[in-house]
Amino acid sequence: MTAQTESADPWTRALLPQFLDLTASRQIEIDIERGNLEAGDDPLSATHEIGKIAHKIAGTAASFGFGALGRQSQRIETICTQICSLSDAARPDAVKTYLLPALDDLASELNAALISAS
Amino acid sequence: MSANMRYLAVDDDPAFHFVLTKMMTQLGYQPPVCAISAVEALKYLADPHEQFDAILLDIQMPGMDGIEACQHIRAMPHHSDTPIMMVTTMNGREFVDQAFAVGATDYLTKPINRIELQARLGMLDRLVKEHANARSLQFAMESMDDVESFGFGFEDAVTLPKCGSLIDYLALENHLLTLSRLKLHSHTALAFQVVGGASLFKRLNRMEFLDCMADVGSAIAACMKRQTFLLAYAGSGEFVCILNRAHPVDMLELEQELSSELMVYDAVYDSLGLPMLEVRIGATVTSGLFSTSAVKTMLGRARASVRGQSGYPMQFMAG
Repeated sequence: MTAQTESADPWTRALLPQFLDLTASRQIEIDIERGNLEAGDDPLSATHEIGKIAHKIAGTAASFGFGALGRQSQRIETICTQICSLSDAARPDAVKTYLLPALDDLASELNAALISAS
Repeated sequence: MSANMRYLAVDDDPAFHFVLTKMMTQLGYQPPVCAISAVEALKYLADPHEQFDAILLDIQMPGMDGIEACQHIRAMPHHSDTPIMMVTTMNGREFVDQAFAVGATDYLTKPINRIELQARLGMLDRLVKEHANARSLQFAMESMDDVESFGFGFEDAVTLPKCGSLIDYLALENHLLTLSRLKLHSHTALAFQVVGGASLFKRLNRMEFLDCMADVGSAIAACMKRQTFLLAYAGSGEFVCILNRAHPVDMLELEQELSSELMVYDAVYDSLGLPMLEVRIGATVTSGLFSTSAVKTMLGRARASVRGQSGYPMQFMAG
């Protein structure tokens, strides 16, 4: 867990509250989709949605100094793309083995980002 | 840097809008107009009261994605040559090829950094200026106005008017720079040279010269239409074409086909007292897998070939 340890442009300080607001709402969206995944409700759709949310976080986190959060989001996005391309039968195992642990790491990074900035 | 340029930025992520707006204003640009979806962007672009010099377009968006949006934008006559810079994360680079195929000019990777953004916007500035010059030229050609006032040299890779099959040389270089070395190696470059191009440049006024190059460009494009290709005017009466290596070119067939395409112009050129168009074709050139500057080297070698330099004896003549 690294939080905001990488150098960010000074101007990001002014925009940080908006970024954190968005990040907090994305964390909630991920938690909801994770709940769907764990309940076994339409894992393909939940994985696809998580990939889209991770894609958004990956696009800007590093610009605000949250490089580790950006990299972890990118990793999640890659895992989601791979899982979506699997067969229905292979998907639950891949979710359990790769996606859920990666989401745990992402949750830690998100928490660290929110705590360090508040 | 052009402080007056107006950009449209299309991305479904408001955080990206914050970052881009801040970085662009710090670099001395106007804040971009931000659209949150491709549909909203198309509404802006269709509005005749809205003028945009260039577009930043996210590839992966919900609903209509950036690639489909790019196709729609290119279908708008007033945005057929507006520079479009695709924006994507590292994971989305696989889509960049598709974007170039539907008319994108360049691409930028998220998360953006200021140095890269500055370089990319600088490139778009240059393209916008070139397009503005081309439009002035087009206007002058249509109104037959002061023809000598347009300053460009024989070596300049100017944008050719009324030549839809060609892309800008800068855009061609950009596209090749986005390819991995292995992928670049799967392409070949082929150069074409208008015989006596320099003397045509001296003899004709600028408008006539560009018209002449546009005729040659159209003829080359017509010969290539059976395969996927990218063609650009490189300046000095030369064109460079990028082809897939998997479909080898039959040079003799190309030579004959180009001759017959150029023959269409013979009567017109003859009636104007101009020499018949004749085009030299160089050898196909591939990039070295381990070369350090693969793109420049590949294009440079293709052009050296058509000039008969660098030990390339094989040349073909059409016209």
